[in-house]
Amino acid sequence: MRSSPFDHRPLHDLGAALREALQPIDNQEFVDGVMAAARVGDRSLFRGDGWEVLSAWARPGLAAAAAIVVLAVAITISVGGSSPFEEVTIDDALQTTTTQSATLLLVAAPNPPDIDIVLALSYER
Amino acid sequence: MEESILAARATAGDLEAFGQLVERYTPQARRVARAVLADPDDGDDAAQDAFLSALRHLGRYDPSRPFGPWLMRIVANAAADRRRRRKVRAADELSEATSGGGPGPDVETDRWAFLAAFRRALALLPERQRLAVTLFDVEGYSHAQIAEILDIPQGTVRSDVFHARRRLRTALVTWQHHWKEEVV
Repeated sequence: MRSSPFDHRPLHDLGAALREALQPIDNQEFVDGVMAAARVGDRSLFRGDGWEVLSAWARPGLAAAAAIVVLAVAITISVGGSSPFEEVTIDDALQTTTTQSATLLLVAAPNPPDIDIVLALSYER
Repeated sequence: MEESILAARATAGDLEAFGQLVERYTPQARRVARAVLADPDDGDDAAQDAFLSALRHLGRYDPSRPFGPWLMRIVANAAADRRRRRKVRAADELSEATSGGGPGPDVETDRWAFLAAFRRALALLPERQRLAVTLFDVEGYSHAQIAEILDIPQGTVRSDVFHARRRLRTALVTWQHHWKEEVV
């Protein structure tokens, strides 16, 4: 059976001719050459060059740095949460009996007061 | 021994295991490199570069997949890199020799002449077609594997193999007819 360029299987006659046209001689000499080169560069070949070593360390290094940043943020939030101003609300400030400390707390409070409480306190005083 | 085991041992520093892989794939790697580079010495240099590069990067080889396509990709890249560095197209080196049509079957009838003509026909193909037809018809890789090796779609591989076959067949059939006439 004659082969066709449309054939989806390898063409034996063409393949054989191509193989013969490309066929190298003395493969053993070539193998010896490759192995000699491999032995010469044995250590560097197996361990890679400096960039490869650096790139190998890059990923774990970045992961460690990210973990440190996350930990630092978590610590900052937990420590920062104990600020005295955050525990005092504007309502507490207005309900204080001492006018001076109430004013100080009113100025220091981060949020605006509840209008109902302000009016109620004004009415009582 | 299985190639994945040899590769694992070579990765661990076993040069003997690497040597077995080199012996197993030397003819194929040299043929594929020669399909890219017309000069056999250049082809061998590229094939050697490829083996040493493979040794350096064995850690990237996935042992669950065949070793051949992974290595052939390195070989094809090494050969293409070498050709680009030289900035000499393989076909250019031979274009002068083929401009007059080359020696016909009525002038030289021996096998050497046929191979020379066939090599010229091969060298005139685009690089990717040379690689595709060599990997398919000589080395027996599938279209899917060649697509992976050359990093191109499977449809492109089929097209490249088809066009390369059509042009090479012209050279082959000419000589086959001649040989038949010689026998008769």
